[in-house]
Amino acid sequence: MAQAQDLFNILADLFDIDAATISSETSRDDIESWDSMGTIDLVAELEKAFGVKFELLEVEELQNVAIIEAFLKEKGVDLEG
Amino acid sequence: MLFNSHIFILGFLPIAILLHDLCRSHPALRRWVIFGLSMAFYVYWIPWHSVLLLVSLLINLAVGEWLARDRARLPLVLGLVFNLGYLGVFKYADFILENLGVVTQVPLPQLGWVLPLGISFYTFQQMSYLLDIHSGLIKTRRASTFLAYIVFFPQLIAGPIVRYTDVHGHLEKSWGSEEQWLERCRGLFVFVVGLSKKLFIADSIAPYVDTWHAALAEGYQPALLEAWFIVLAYPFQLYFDFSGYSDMAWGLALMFGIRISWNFNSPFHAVNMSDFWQRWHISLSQCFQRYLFNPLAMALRHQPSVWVKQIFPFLITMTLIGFWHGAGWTFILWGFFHGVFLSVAYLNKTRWKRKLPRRLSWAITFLCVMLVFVWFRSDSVGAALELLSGCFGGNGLVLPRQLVGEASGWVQGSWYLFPALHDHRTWEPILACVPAWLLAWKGPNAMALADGFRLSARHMAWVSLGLVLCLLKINEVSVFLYYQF
Repeated sequence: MAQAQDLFNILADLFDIDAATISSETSRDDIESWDSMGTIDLVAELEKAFGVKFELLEVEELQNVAIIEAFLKEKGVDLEG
Repeated sequence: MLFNSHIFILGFLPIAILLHDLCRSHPALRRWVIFGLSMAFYVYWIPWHSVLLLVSLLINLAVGEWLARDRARLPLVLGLVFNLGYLGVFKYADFILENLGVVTQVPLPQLGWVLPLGISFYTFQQMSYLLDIHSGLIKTRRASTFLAYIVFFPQLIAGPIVRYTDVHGHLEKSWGSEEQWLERCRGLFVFVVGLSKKLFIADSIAPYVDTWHAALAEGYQPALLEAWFIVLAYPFQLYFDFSGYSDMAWGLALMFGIRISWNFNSPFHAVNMSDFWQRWHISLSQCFQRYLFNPLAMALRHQPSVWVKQIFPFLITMTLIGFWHGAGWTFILWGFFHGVFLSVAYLNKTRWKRKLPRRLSWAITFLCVMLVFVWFRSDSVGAALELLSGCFGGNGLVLPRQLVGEASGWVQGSWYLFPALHDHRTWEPILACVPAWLLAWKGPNAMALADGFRLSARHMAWVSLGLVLCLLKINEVSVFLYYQF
């Protein structure tokens, strides 16, 4: 089963920040390097790592980690921890 | 009718508020009154343009209903083709014909039609309406809500570009709660803030910028210091003009119970290009991001090449943002260079990973934004190149004669620091620009001012004083820069 830490590591690698600073409460406003292209890159990484597919309309909603976790859960990826 | 005119502030606005308030308990009537008032506001310009607006509204309303019944591609494609064709004929036909003539070496006739006011804004807003119906975001529709939403006079002429889903709730309710009366005062306060930005700052810089660019259009070659002053003056004139207009639109909308989005958030504080576009003309960049950049980047996201999946969407989106502003190569190049800078910033973030100190990052961003605005304002590619050449020493250095004595060669002496402004004293343009620079860098923005507004005697006294000073300052009406788009 996938871990929440896997998601945090993807965010940390992508946005060049310390994974320890990321939690479900982290939002786009907390990460300066998370811009519009960052969201698209994040979608591509999530799709590769968890084998899911995001729709165009969902992209705009990816504004914080809790929403990403909720979307992953909706797509059958239940993150542990 | 301009927001910064006596007829609007002392005539149209009080009547509009009175009529709106008379029917504030009847939501449907309130929407029709808003529609009627907004059409009256628009008819005041060039009456036959309101016929075009009505045709565009009715066609989009019909296509929207068709789309809602059958969320197929055909009505969406037809609707988008109509809107882009409508914009193309009125805004881009002459540019395309002129360039076709150059390529084919056969001079083609020009249409020479006057650009209908606000065409780029209301057309994009209608396209967003159709796209949002197609994607299922708009669930309930009413003809009166659609009409009031598109032509709502505070944002009809120059935005912000508002989404139906953001405002339909405000339009479908009655008005008049205690909270809404307070919001009306807050709206009036922000309107006065915006009006002051336009009248006291933007319009003070405008005569100098206009003189400089008129000279550049005729081949004037500014020397180093003058060139940099021109480069540093115009973006602040534009910022205070357009953000002033946007603040007025925000305030007016709130006075009628409709909360629209902010269009600016201290753009010159941006620490990178992506940050700049989240602060400058926010409604336009969000519109392009939502309907062009995201679909393009999502479609290409699994391509192996960074050039295809990341750089290409940046360049296409920004070039089209430039083209949206005007049918001219200078606008296209302005957008294209923003695309290049966004791409470089992206590559630095993801590939080169060179972290710059925050102040240096801000300084580089600021410099790039300033230099690229040369394309936005210049009348021709040649004039822009001449100004940029001056910035990099191509036209030498001219200083006041008393400072350089008998120097010769690259450094020359003149009585004036700004020879192109020979009818003005040197300190005049400096005095016009310094307040703009200080306020843009250190002053609170309209968002912060609106948040800090309280319904107190002190704040209302400031609003009244500001309004009186503005009314006294309006001696001749000056058009907002974004009205040309």
